[in-house]
Amino acid sequence: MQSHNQHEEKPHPSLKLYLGVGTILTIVTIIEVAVFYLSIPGAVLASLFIVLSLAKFALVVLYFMHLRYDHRIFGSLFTGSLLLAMGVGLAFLLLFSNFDIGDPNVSAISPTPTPHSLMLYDPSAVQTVDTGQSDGPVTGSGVFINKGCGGCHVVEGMTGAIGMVGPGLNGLLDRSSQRISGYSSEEYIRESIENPSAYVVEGFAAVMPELRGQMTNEEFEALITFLLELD
Amino acid sequence: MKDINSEHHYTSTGLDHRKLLMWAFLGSECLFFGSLIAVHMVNRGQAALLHGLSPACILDIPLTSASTFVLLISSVMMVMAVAATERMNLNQTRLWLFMTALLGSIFLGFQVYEFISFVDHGLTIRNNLFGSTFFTLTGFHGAHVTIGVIWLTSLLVLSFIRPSKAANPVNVDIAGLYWHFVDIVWIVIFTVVYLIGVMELDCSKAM
Repeated sequence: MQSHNQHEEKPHPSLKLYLGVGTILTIVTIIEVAVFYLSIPGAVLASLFIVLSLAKFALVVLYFMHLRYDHRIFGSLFTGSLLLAMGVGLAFLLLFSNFDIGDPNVSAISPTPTPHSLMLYDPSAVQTVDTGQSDGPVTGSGVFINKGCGGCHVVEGMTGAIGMVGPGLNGLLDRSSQRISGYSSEEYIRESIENPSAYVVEGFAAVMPELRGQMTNEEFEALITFLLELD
Repeated sequence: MKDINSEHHYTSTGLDHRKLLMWAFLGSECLFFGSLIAVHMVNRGQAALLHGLSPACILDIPLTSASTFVLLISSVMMVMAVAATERMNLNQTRLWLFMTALLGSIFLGFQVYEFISFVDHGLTIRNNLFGSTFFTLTGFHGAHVTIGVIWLTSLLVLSFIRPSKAANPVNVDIAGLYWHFVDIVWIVIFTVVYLIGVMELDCSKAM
């Protein structure tokens, strides 16, 4: 009965056609990877990638999945859902991002990498605290607030330093000398800021961003001094 | 042959309802993976830096190109299996089913290696938004490949226990539809997450 049905439909492609489609898919993939290493402007490259992958997608669906030869109802079911999925995806992208397909590099130069997956942290709220950031002398507490450290670390009595994501920092001088054998408090704190994932206090996740690159040396030294003096 | 005939019931559309069900399921899978891909694309640009670089710098294009190629060839092996069942050639069906499952397993091997090396570099599912969305997306894809490998292996085993059942083209055809779908999802992931995700990034500083 099944074979009877298939005789009513157009015949399935031959082995030769399958191998031909397979070869085209392979060649397109090789082209994609080759083009990747050429210096082509981002927007052009992204469009090229999307066109090529759509072509591969269509080839597999039409020939390997026989949609070209099969009953229309299969095609409608799949294409309908696919269009719906693409619409939902596109709407999501437009709603929640600045649609940076051509420029994903934005992330690498973004001034404030934030542990935004943790909703407790609201950098805009933290940064409104006035700490004499603009003109006054660099102070450790000012750096602490401006870099958003307070979004994740508690310092008793300090406005804005209320985050619970990372360990509290009071009494850091005593504790930090115990963390890694052979490290003084200062060495430990320096490393914790320069390379946050090198040592992560038990019970906390390795989510601290690398903010050393966002500070001048003067700010960094002031921050270290401030942290060592917390009691 | 009696076995095959007795399995085919009358349907109002005249189409095999298992095949119809598979296509409807694949339609829903489009929405599933479409959402996961969109979520990754929205969030990757805002993820915290990893060793001072965009976390996308961790993606290994040459390695993933190889695994993409493996999955692509497995799809070709799968159509060979479907064609062999239509010719009622049981031995060839077994051969191509085996090859498909083997290549699928190799793809999974690549993925396991990739995941382990990412975790070694400090990118996990919980410490970075890029990692969370990346591992969720590719992890679910890997789970689909795993289910596919199990499915194909079962068909292979079945072909020795009950040859008449495994020789039924619809059984292999449906598994084939699923397998090809898993392949096209990877085509999209490879393009959007890997190629487009890494291009134009300045990843010059060693990870």
